[in-house]
Amino acid sequence: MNDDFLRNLRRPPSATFERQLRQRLREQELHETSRRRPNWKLLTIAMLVGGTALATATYLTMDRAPWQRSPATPVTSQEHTATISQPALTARQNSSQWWGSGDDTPETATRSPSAPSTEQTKITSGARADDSSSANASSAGGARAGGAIAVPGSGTNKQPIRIAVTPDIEAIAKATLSRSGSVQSASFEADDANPALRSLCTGSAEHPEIVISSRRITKDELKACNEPWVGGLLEATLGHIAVVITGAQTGSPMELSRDAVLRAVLKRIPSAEDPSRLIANPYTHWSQINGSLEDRRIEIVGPARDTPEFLVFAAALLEPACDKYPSLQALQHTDRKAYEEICFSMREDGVYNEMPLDSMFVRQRLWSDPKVIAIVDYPFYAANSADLLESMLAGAPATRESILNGSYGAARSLYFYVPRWRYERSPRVYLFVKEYLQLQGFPKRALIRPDGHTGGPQSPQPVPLKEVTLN
Amino acid sequence: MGWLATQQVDWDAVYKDQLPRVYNYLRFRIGNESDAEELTARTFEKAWRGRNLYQRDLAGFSTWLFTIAQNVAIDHLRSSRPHLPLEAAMEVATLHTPHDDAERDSNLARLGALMRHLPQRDQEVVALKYGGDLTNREIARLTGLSESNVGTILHRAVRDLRSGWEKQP
Repeated sequence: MNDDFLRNLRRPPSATFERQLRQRLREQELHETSRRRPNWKLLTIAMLVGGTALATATYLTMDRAPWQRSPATPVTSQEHTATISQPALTARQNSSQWWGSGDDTPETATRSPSAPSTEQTKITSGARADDSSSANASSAGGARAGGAIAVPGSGTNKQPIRIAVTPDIEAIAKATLSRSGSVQSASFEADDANPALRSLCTGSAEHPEIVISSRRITKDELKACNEPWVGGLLEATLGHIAVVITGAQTGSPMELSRDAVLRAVLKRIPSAEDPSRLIANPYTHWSQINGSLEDRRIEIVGPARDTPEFLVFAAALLEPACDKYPSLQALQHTDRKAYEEICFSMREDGVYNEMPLDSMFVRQRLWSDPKVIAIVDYPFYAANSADLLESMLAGAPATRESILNGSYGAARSLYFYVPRWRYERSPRVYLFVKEYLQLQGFPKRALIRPDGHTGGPQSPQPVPLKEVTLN
Repeated sequence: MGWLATQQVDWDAVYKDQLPRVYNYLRFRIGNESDAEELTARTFEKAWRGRNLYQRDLAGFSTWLFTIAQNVAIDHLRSSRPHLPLEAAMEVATLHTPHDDAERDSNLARLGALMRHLPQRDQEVVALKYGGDLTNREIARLTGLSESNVGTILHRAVRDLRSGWEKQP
């Protein structure tokens, strides 16, 4: 037996089969073409009917805008009326600051009648001067009670929602928004959890309206949100993200620290002698990183830099590992771009190989080379655990429970916070939150949710928004 | 423009060129003619729906076609895989039933029996090489192995097959 013998075993498919298959493909093509071809007559009728229905629905809902239909109760118990001048309002709307000129609280909103006014606007205590969309809604249907501003002729609201996000989950949060077309009216600011959560309920102009944090708010930080005019803080647990360091079931396990993984995969790493200095990654064997590890060649397969899985890897493992080095942690605050350039740049010398996480990943890549270490996201790991080694990361095993209770070492949580008064009084915030919590922008399979669902287009229910109560 | 571009590709010629390769890959991989036909049809039906994506990259189309074929084969093998330990596979290969005896007459059936002793990865590489008529580079791209590794695997696999072939009566 030789190559020729094996090649001679090939034979052409039978003529009957070839003809039948060609026929099947042709029929399939015709079927799909007919499915794609629009029926213009039907389309025109549908458009007419749809247009009429839309017009009717718009007319009916003008009376009660969606945010007014929410079960929310007014934040302040007594509503009082104040006047606000149109020029002052316009000036605030046009301001380049995040939140106009700081007229954010009910108190400041009532403090503007001094400006010369030819056209006076009625405002109730809960409404915000920047909410021109609410103003439009009211102006369309005339001035109404219930917290809306009546601003005849005011422009549409283009102000983005100000979201502070903790740096470790910034990349994934940004990717989420960029994937969701309808929530692009948001402006992200990376901020540490401490200042972001402390300032959330202060209501001043330079502070965020929403915070997405990788940790829960503390009792102390919550105090400001329990002021009567804020009415409490609403929280949604968006979910958890996690990566698993694993390998083919037939391979031999190792116990790796986050630092060992970092030293194995990054293009440049802090020098062992002087961690404030970066060096080109010199390691070729695991035993060089740590003498107690196997003298095995470092071979790693993982997600490509531009994939959602890589963002999870970066947030859940690379960033916490990088932050152990004070010089890198400092860089995170001073030059985030440089920080990412160092901490998220994978080796290009063949040690780290990008592979898509698909059905071929385990069967083809890992089975063929059991010595390869694989970096996969938790949902992929859970789906293929029968063929994979247990998590090689030191500490708690990679299980759903350990991720949900926070004991697993390569996981991050995503908490979403919005003060109640903003949610209930600001239409733009309300609409944004409603849409965002559908998690439509999240990559499929990215989130591990306590209710057992995953985020993404298949997510059946929006994430519930609940009032934070800390004992 | 897309329509015009589509017209530039002679899909009929592509079909004629690729059909025997995919069909033979699946024959080698599955070792059963009728299953190979059915899986080939399934592969082409899937690929044909999205073929216009590759109108400017026929090499890419070929790779994509084989990726689909691999997945189809794996799904088939998984669904029909007997849940026996590896040792039992030896016995499966030497069971004597009239049907098996008839199959044994065919060289492909003999080869199929020998192939079952090879690791899954090696079976895949052999099927891609001699059934799919792919180059080592194309196999490397499909399997994620290095080109030299593919060469080594093929050399070893053919040696083992030859040895088994000579031992069989």
